[in-house]
Amino acid sequence: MSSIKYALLAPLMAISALTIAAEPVDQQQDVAANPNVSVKVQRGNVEFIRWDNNSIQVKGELDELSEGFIFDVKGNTVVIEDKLPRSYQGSNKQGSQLTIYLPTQLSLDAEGVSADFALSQLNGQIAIALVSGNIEAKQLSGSNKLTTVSGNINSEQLSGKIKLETVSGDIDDKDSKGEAEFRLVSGELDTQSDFTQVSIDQVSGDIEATLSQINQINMVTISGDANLNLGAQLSKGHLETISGDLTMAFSAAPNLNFMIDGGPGGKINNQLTDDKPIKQKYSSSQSLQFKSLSGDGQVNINTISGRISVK
Amino acid sequence: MCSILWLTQWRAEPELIQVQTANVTTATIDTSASVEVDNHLIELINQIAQTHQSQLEGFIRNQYTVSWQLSADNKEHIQTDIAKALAELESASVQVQAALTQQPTNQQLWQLWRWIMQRQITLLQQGQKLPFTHTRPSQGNTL
Repeated sequence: MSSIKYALLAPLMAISALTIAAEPVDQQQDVAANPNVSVKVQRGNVEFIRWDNNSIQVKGELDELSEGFIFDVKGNTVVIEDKLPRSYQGSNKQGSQLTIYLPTQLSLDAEGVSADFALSQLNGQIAIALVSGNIEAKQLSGSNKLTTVSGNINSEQLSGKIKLETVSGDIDDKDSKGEAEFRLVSGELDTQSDFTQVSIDQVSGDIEATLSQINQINMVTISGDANLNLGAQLSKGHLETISGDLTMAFSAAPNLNFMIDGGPGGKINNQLTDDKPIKQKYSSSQSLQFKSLSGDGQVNINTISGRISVK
Repeated sequence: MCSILWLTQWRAEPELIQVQTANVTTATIDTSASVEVDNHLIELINQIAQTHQSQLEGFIRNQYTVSWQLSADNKEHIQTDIAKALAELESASVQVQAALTQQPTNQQLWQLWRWIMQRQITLLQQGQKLPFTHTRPSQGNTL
């Protein structure tokens, strides 16, 4: 009896396996110059690649649970979406595997859930928002905002105005330039770039930054430690740490006036000049004001209980 | 959301107050003015924190509870990722609030706090749109 049952079930199982197999996609449409492209892919891997055509091509495989592929072009607006059921279970491996070829100049707004996105050589307004997916971005220029919740962001050779945000993921950036804003909660930030302006908001993760072309820096960290290696042309800085330690190391003597407030529990270590911190008479608070070279620029550093080192 | 919007409007104020505080300090006339300003700001911080907390609770209460909030033991990684991120944001918010209480005129801390609160709300909104089964809370009255 059981062998008959299996014999009947086998073709059914084969059919169901075929129905959930990933469906290939290969579509191309012409688009206007500088299109507004919106992409929604919830899981899988998506690669955004520049090409020199006024058209967009989507190649690869749809999600195993895909309920349909949307590729609409209306005037300047392009919508690309791999539609999934309202609820599902499964892993990223069963997700969409897509390569999207795009014109270099565009406005791109792409979102995903667990999908990993990789982008390269695009120019314009680029906004990426993921939940647990990772973002890899190379050679983007213009205005870029890359956001993920628990995924990591790896960026390289970005330029223009850059905003990178993550909650628990890490940010690893190198060889970028322009103006950057980094926001993290518990992730680690590592940047080795030629930014001229940088703003860093960090809560508990650590910061490692080598910024040799920096002119202006704003940083606030609560309990994370920051290790900043800076070029000598820094002219303005505002750095706050609550309990985290901060080390600022300059490649050469900067032309800056430093005002450091060590707060009630902080410690100040100055290796740039011979100036020593002043201790308050009736408390353990330390503060230090000194000039390096003629002190034309201004750097303010405040802490409550962190250790501040300048060298 | 109102508290965030209100905070956005209020953003410019700490700078003004900082200037006022600096003037008072340099004149070395009376530190009681700056203490008064600080106390006022600390009161404001507590009010904002309370309002934001009740808005977050309302946000969660007024929706069908999303499964990732109920299933801490669920192995689905996105659910736990979001739950973890929310917990981290909550802990970060508490840390920044404590820091702000110590430095109530610190504009950068205000901005960081505003971003964290904004991120909490965005994440809850994102959570509602996520592709998971929505379930009603098992507790409470059934009408």
